[in-house]
Amino acid sequence: MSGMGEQLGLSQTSGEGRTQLFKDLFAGIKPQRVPLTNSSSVEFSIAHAGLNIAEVLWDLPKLEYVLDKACRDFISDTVPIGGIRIPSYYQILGSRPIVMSSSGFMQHPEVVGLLAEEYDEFISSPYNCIVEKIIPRLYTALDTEPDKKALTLAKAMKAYCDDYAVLGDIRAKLIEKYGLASLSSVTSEAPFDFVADFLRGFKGIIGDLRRYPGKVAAACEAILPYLIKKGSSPDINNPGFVFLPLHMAPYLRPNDFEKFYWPTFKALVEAFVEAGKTVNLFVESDWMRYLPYLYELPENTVMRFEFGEPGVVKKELGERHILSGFYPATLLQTGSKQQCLDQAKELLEILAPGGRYWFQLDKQILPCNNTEKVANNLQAVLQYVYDNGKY
Amino acid sequence: MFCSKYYTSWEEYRKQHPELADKPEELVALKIQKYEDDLLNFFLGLLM
Amino acid sequence: MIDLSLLAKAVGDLDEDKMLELLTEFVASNPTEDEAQTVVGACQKGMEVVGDLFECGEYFVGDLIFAGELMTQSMDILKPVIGSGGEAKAGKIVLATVEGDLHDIGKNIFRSMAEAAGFEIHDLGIDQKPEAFIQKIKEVQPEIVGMSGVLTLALESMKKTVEKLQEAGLRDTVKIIIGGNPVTVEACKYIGADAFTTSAAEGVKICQAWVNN
Repeated sequence: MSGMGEQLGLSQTSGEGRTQLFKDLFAGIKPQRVPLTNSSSVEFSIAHAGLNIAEVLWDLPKLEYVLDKACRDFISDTVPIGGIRIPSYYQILGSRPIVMSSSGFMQHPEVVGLLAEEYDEFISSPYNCIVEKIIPRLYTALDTEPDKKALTLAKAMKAYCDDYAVLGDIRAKLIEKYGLASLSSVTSEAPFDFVADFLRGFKGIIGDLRRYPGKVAAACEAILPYLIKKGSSPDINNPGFVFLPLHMAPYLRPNDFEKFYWPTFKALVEAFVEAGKTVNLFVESDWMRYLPYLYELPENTVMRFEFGEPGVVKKELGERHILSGFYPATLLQTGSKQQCLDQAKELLEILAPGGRYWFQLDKQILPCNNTEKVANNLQAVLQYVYDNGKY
Repeated sequence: MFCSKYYTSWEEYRKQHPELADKPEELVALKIQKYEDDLLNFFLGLLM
Repeated sequence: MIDLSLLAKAVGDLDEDKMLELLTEFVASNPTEDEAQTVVGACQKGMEVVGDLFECGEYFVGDLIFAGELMTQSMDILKPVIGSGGEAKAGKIVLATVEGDLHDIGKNIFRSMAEAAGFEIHDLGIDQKPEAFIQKIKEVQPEIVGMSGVLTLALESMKKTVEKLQEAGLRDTVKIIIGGNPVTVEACKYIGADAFTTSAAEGVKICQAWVNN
């Protein structure tokens, strides 16, 4: 017998049953079956529903129809909302780091929010520097006289709160209607990624590692308590997780990773786990050379891999951590139905035994020219995993 | 911990606002501090 | 007289301070244009070493980015003494991140390495529609077109761009190379490109082979 779900007589497609799957999974207990999530991006779901991406993101109530259709068409234990960036408050703030591309897709072009000569300022008080320098530099509508700044910020926060309230309502309705797992989450970031992504930029941080390595290390230490705070509120329920999308490590030299990325990343994860939370990592790109480090993280850390060798990862990490990912989203676009099913079968055989496995694709499915093909393949794959993922 | 002129801890806020002395402290603290933290998290979220 | 092998080593070792010291001294010595060209050659040799060390797993993507920065700095320092003649270019490449995608790190690494290898790069930037490619191709008549993208939706944009080039009667006038995370041999066939790569150094070698044939 696996997991508490069966013992409690919970239906595998009820909200309670599905929620129990994740309670078991995050506790390192083998659940009743392999939990699965429809990894469609919101943008893909919008395309699948035959609507325009920009129109839906600017008129969020339309998302209910979109996600309702996604729930009807694709079996999933969780609401199929991955990451979402809502344009309203970014537009109000005059965002440079997050913009809507010509396809309607919200993306992050390379920006520099913190100049190299401002490192000391940031280290001595990150929040002062964020409010006074970084935010106005990146959010141009806040780079203005004080009264206008105050009004712009008020509008942006109102839009943010209103839009997330709509999103929250839609999630709650779908969880109720389709008997989905009630999972709560909050997002934070590894300190090195925080200093890199919007502050120094990809190119900037790479140069900084050579020119001011001490400052890079000090900046990571300085921002660490803030990132712990970020992942601590709102307080998440059980089951829930703190989501950390990992970014820069695969691009670094191993000894730079060890000296600059690892210490504060490890400290962040440990802080959350000590507070009783589950940490869910998106292990983007290729972390195969860092598996021994990942092993050291607190037990039952969730790790969704983009690239890598699933057999090796299962062997090295599978008895201690919860694995996910590896299934190439692009296969749904380029492969036949049989090829897609064969890939699902292979991954189930490698990753499911013993539990600690959550079926998700390697990344979110993005819109493409052949939505129908992707949708048919996705439907088949998710149904296959549901039917064959029993313990 | 968050040494910044833009972040006020509850202890600091209480010192600055003696008029709250006879108000239900726990409830007021929860509310006031929530918005302090909400704004901090909003700014951090804009940088992720 | 500058020690060219020391300069090439400094670039290959990504030793910014040494490279800057050597180049600044060199420019201060009032060199001839020919001497300046040999110095450019030494920097290019250093970049080849960087590419090789990346291929064999000693250098990583961050090192390629830093190498690109060193090349940009070295060209800025040498500009006053290189002169307008310059070396004959290896070839012309029109390069861009395709429509719908805003990523450019990989594209920029390729650009630095291709420039170091002597190519003339016309970089259109990010989120470029097929029409932008067509306009530039008509203007500069490159030998090669490079399309870059990180998101899977970039594959569709690349396919659309190739189709538009076909419609405009330009497809057979250029070689097309695609680069980025999602490109594979299947994607290359699907898109109708001539080559694909996930490595900037390999991409440059492919382009060199094309222009030398």
